[in-house]
Amino acid sequence: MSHKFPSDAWTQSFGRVINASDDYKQRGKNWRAGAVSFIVTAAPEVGMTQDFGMFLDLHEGECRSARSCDLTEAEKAPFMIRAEYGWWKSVIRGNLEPVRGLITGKLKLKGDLTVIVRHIGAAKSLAECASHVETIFLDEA
Amino acid sequence: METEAQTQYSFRMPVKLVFGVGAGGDVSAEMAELGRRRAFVVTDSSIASSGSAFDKLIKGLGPRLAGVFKEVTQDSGFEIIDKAANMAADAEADCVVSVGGGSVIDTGKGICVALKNGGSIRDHMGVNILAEPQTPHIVLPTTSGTGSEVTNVAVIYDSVEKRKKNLLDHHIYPNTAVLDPEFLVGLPQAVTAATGMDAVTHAIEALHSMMKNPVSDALALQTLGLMNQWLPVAWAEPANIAARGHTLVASNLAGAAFSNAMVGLCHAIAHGLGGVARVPHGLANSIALPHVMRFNLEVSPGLYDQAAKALGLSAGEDVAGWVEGMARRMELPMTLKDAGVAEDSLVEVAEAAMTDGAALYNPRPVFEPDEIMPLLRLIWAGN
Repeated sequence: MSHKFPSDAWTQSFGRVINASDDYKQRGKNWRAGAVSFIVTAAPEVGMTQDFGMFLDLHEGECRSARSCDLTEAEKAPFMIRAEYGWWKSVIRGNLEPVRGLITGKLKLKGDLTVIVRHIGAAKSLAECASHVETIFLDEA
Repeated sequence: METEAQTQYSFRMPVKLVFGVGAGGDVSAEMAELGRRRAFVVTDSSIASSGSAFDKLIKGLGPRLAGVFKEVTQDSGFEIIDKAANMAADAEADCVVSVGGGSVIDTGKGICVALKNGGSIRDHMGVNILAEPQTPHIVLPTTSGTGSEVTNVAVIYDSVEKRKKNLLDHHIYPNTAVLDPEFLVGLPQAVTAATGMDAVTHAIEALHSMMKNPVSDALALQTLGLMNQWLPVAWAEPANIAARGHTLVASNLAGAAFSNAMVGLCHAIAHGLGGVARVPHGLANSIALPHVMRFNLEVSPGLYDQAAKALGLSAGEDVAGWVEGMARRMELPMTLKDAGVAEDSLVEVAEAAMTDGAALYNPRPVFEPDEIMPLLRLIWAGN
């Protein structure tokens, strides 16, 4: 079933895809660094008038919880990645490699980059999982 | 080799460059251009007591001088930055003037962030999270190595985790880089050699990075040409102002190159060596670079052909030998063993290297510490 991105339903579907992924189970098995939040910044041109937060409780290759969240909660996660709607779309479509997105300023990371780098395989696997969520983009709905 | 980055790239260089013998005496003019009134000078004790060029800077600042912090150490860390930022705030500074090598400049970048946002610099670590320009920053490099005066990264030592961490953000580019060769006159030979090899490493790694592009290539190749001609002169004749000027420009060009193209595995290893075994950054790069180049050549034979051409060598395979020749000529240690690194620290170095973002751009991908252990043993023993 397709879900609009971003939305709570899309985030939950993302969590299910992660947990169905043998690749993430393997590559994320050493991740014990805590939750990761994503923020899609407001994009009025596609009808998003406010920032949208997503919260993933990731631990040892498993997604224990995936849901939308308010920005205060997103800020409290050990790792928070913020980007404009269009860049998230590029990541989900597989057109923007996440680390290159960080380095070029398209994605913004709050947290310890060294931890992300050490688990780069897990990060790439998460992006791969996102590309498998059946997605309806707001600007294409 | 054409990478994805070469077909689609951007290039940033937002730093104003001022070059001139004696230019350090006129920092007030740069402050005025930035609308600043109170400069907090950041340096180390050795530079602060080095005499004429630094004294000229301080004298030139006159009533615009808010304070001098001279406690920066090699690979300074969170605590030093927080202490200096508090002092700068107490002194009501509205800009930072960093005078030194990479450690000083990176400390200055951290101070600018902490001064602007409050709290500890630990609270602001990340990648491109700063939302606006930071405290204005004027930089006077005193080595021809780091290139940090034109980069958007600060390497900060975490004494708790014994690891170097990166603050990477487009808002930490300094505003102005004042390149005054007088600040390099009298730099000890060993420092000249190690920092110069750091700049050479920036150029080589910018050339082999997966993020390389034609603009960074041009800067890196010009760096190699200048360093080939002038670094040995600057090393042999510490007071040669022309050699100091050319190498200073070369390191600046390399900084602009790698700030956009990024670096690679050699830097990841050097950062690991700095954090774990406290090997000075330039020396670590100098020792590791030829081995990393040969490691990369195994999977990408034409990788250094451009560099060979710029250096007048017949084949890319000869460039690693050229690097070794430069280091040997300047009497640098050629192995980690000679540099005093304990062999049993290599596992920890490998672990640290694999947490370093630089490794991500190496043309030969590596992800696990085990993958680089044979290379590290080679760098340690030298054969």
